[in-house]
Amino acid sequence: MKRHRKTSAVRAAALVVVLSLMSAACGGSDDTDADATLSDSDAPAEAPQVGFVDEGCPTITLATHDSFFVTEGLFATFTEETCIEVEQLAVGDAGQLVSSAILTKDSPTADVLFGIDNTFLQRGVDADLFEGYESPLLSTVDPALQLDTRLTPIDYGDVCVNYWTDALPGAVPTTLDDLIDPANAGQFVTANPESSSPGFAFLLATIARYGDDWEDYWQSLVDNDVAVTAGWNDAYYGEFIAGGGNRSIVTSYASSPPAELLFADPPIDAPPTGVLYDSCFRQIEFAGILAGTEFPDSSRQLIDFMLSTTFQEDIPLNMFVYPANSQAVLPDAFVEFGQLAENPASLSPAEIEANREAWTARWVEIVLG
Amino acid sequence: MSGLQIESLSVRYGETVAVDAVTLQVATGSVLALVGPSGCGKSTLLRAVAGLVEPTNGTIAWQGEPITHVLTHERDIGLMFQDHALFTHRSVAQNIGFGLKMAGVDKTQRRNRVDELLALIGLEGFGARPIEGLSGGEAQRVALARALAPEPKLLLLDEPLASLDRARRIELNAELARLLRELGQTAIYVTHDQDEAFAVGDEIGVMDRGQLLRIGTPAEVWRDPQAEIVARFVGHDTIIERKGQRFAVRSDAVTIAADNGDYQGTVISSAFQGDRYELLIDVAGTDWRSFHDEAVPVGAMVHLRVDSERLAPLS
Amino acid sequence: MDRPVGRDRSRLRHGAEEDTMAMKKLRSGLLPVAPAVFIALFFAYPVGTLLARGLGQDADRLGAVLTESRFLKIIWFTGWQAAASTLLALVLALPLTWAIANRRFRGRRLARGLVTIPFVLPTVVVASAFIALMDGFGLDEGTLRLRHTVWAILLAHAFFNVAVFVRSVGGFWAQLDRRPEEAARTLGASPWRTFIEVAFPRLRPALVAATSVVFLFSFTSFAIILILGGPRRSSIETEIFRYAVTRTDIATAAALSIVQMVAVVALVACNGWLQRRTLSGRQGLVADRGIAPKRGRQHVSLWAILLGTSVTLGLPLAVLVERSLSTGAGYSLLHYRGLGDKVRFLPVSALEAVANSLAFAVAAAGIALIIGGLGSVAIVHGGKFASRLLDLGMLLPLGTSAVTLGFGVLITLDRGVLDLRGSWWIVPITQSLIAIPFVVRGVVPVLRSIDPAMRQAAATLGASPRRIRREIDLRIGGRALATGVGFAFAISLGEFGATSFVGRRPDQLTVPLAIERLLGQPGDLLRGQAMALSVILMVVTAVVVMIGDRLYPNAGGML
Repeated sequence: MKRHRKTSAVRAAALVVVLSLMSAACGGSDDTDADATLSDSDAPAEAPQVGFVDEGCPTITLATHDSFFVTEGLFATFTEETCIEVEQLAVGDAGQLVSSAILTKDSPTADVLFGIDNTFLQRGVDADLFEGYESPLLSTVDPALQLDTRLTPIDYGDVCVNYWTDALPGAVPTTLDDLIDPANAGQFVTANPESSSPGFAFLLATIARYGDDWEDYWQSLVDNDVAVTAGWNDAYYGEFIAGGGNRSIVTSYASSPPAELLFADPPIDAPPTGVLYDSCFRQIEFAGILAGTEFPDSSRQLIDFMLSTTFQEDIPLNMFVYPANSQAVLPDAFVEFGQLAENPASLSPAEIEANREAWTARWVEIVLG
Repeated sequence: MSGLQIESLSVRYGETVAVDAVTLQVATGSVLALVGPSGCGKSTLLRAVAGLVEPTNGTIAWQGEPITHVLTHERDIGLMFQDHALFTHRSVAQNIGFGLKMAGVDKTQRRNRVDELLALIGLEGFGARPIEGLSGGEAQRVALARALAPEPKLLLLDEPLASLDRARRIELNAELARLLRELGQTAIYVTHDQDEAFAVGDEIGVMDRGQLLRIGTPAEVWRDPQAEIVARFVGHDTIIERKGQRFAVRSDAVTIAADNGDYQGTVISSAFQGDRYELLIDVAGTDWRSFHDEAVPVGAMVHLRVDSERLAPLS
Repeated sequence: MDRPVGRDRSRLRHGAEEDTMAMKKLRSGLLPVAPAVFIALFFAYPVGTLLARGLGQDADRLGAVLTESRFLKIIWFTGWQAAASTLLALVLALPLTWAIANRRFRGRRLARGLVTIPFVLPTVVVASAFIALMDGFGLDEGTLRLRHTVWAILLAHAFFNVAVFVRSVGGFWAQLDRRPEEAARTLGASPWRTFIEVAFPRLRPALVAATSVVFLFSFTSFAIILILGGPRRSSIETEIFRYAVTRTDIATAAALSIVQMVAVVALVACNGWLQRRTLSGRQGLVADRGIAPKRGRQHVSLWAILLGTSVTLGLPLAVLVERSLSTGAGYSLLHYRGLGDKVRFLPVSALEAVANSLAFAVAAAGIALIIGGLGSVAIVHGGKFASRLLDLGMLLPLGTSAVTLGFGVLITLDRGVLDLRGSWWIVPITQSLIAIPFVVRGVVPVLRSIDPAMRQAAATLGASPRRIRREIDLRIGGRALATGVGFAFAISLGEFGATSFVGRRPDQLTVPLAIERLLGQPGDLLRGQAMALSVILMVVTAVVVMIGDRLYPNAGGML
């Protein structure tokens, strides 16, 4: 199932720092001699050289999922400064993106891939999809996001339980345990982790929080009349109050309340929903250079661009997630209403990949059996 | 009243009047041959009688009982179509037996009747055959058998031989006439061919533009066509005008006179017919037909006497 | 159309043959080339490669799929829900189909156009509409809870597929010579018995063809089963998605794909057996059947039919329209106005998405026209083996998962001239693969049913075989072709799966994908716009379909 992303208006001003770096690297390139001064085989442990490698003025392809969106003209500014053209290829959702990349490993459809998240990260790494690269801009990124040196974190968001404040039967829930409180019986709806990315993230959150007792927790949820849908859409717009349903608590994103505010009709002053921070699971999206690309250097420049504040500041209102670059300025709506969880749940990509099937199978037994 | 009675029947399609106030009777056991040029409404009349078309006005009755609003499948009136309209998804026997099946006749009886009919139409052993392989003539025979099988009180035949070639037509026509007579079947036989009509019909009806112009025995219609179209239809090609009244000149009205007669003309052609000669004479630009015992040379001038008794007045 | 020259000896009834046997053989040999190459290149090759790779990884999965009870249950469910959906669709469609074929009424063209609308709607939208409907009618509480039941799935499938029956069977019926039925009436068959004994059997070719298509559609349905069926129900298609995408387990996905295809083969075999079993022969197709005889009370039943069908099909659509118009400030065109702007959230404005979709649809319909048309003629006039193979080949894509197709394309069409990945054309090509069976299944029964007497008559009037083909086959078959191409267009407009999987440039976003994105995000405005876009899609389809109906040269004011 899809995640939602948003793009927002371009701020052309902040190009200077990054782009001047790039223009120094690129210079007048009539020379088509692609001499590899940067080795393109191994992933260097230390910061790579920003050397001058002339790949001409190539066109590189950026493969993303369908929810990727940047403001028009953003890549044009990249092209202006680096003369590298960027073509985009959108391939379904994150799962489709990763699967198709693995399938086409021998003959990749793109040079750079964006949209692999921490739940799929191990799978991509195990399949040797990527050429490693560590961008110099990683220094602006919180180390907690840097899960693997081969991939560059670009944005992150939290999958959290949301609630419709006015429709709650009792007190506002603040912990996961509140969801199994009989006072909230029949109020919660979530999505099947097998077919929904936020649904899966919530499952991971409960596993991270409760450890081995997660199965008991879910049994209690079932006893408390939890509803399960196939995807986020029919949970949020089917069963949840927002779509005219009866349930006041739903699995969604930390960025959903700001979205509710921004796209409200009629306009409102404050979001109708709130976030249950104890339930948040951090999802991080990465970009990586696909192994076998013809233009490794240009690809690196693109990754650098994607970490630049120009790009990063474009992310929140277009994809409704948070920029990895901590220096990027957030839009007001995000600052006011979109608090991030301070202690989101997380599990290592390796653990996720190893146990995914077992966990979802067990979940199905408990909840749908 | 025995047989079919149609009283002032009209069928209108929007602006067009297909059948215009037709009144006729068909006595039980007799065959009415309905003729006329294409588009004259004879097929529509037939369909109205069958109940496939709802008349705008008028009544249809059988043996005094009105059937104008009776549904088709309850009328017990058979219809044989121009190009057979057989059920291609069934075999010959299944086609023929269809009406009997609808009437609830049991299998054995059905089979017997079907065999009977197959013999009647000369197609013994064809029972199991699919429709697809039949020749035109064979298909028409099957269509006839199918219509006859449930022994309908009235059989309607809508140009049944039109899709066949000439030789087949002549052959089947004779057979049909014989069959109908043998079975004593009341029937209306629609055709545009005059010879067919005369061969089959106990009575002839001539239609044009929706109207029934003349109905009567072949002899009556021949002798007294009453309408010009009818006259031409039965073969009276020559029309003359006398004192403002138009007359059809019957071929038996004109004789060659030894000396002065009413008309004078030149012989154009002479055809030997065994006991007489058929002559075509040019009288002031019109071709007249006459019969004479002896030969008359072509190009000779002759006097013609017209027997006014044998002139058919036209309205 | 092309110049098909029959090799089938049993049909050699035409007048003077001006071609030598050699030339005839050459022509009829050439005829299937283009369709065969197309299918081979864009379907057999990609899918075959993917399946080979999948099974190459782990051939045991095939055995597992066929023996493990979990899988068997899913296969069983997929099969019977497809059959039930088909039956339900047929029952719902029959009244309107009858009316379209046997009656002339004002708005008949409109009815034909409108009935196609459900067909074009993206399944996500239909699922949402049904959910809203069920909520609205209180079918969500207590015993009448339809959500996540099989009935919801069946109804939604039927809703979609009524159009297939109405248009293809209705069109065929409208050209079915009425006289055998009239003959039956004069032989004492009541209207009902006439239908059962004569009309229905004669409809069989078209019915069987339409049924197989609807079955396959329901068999490979994805979003409906996922959303309306809820998390407890899976079909083979949803499982393929899960294994291929969520688990990157190509082996199992490949095994399941093979099961799907076996179903198609079985269906085609069943089809063929059904067609052969009856002495259907030539049905005697004519240009127009004419109206059924009018009897007073039949006026009433016509209105009942139209009303009933409008309500059944119209309710979900009405829900969509209502949703698109409802804003925070009452009903207005707010959401529609918003469509012209670039939503900050879609790479192109909604109107551009509509333009994209239309462009793809024209291309896909064009491909379906050529390949489907040639293929149909090749099937009808070709040798027995070749035509069965071609028929199967053209039907298979409909029974193949979009996942398999999409992934297959990604791993094969990557070299040189064939590197169509990311190109504009790959989208209409893959869409047309799904649309071609609609063309073929509509045209072949019609061509097969043309009364040989017509051809004979033309021959005796001096028409050469070529001329006969053009005058008769093209005129009568042409209508079916136009209907099929109309379907192809509609399918392309609403297609989601394959388009999503083969990948495209963001500015090539289509309407279904745009709607999906808009629905994937909280926000009343976005939802309203998704609804508005759906309504636009509905209207565009209806308009295009009706224009198509009108444009096609109507000999005598028919359908």
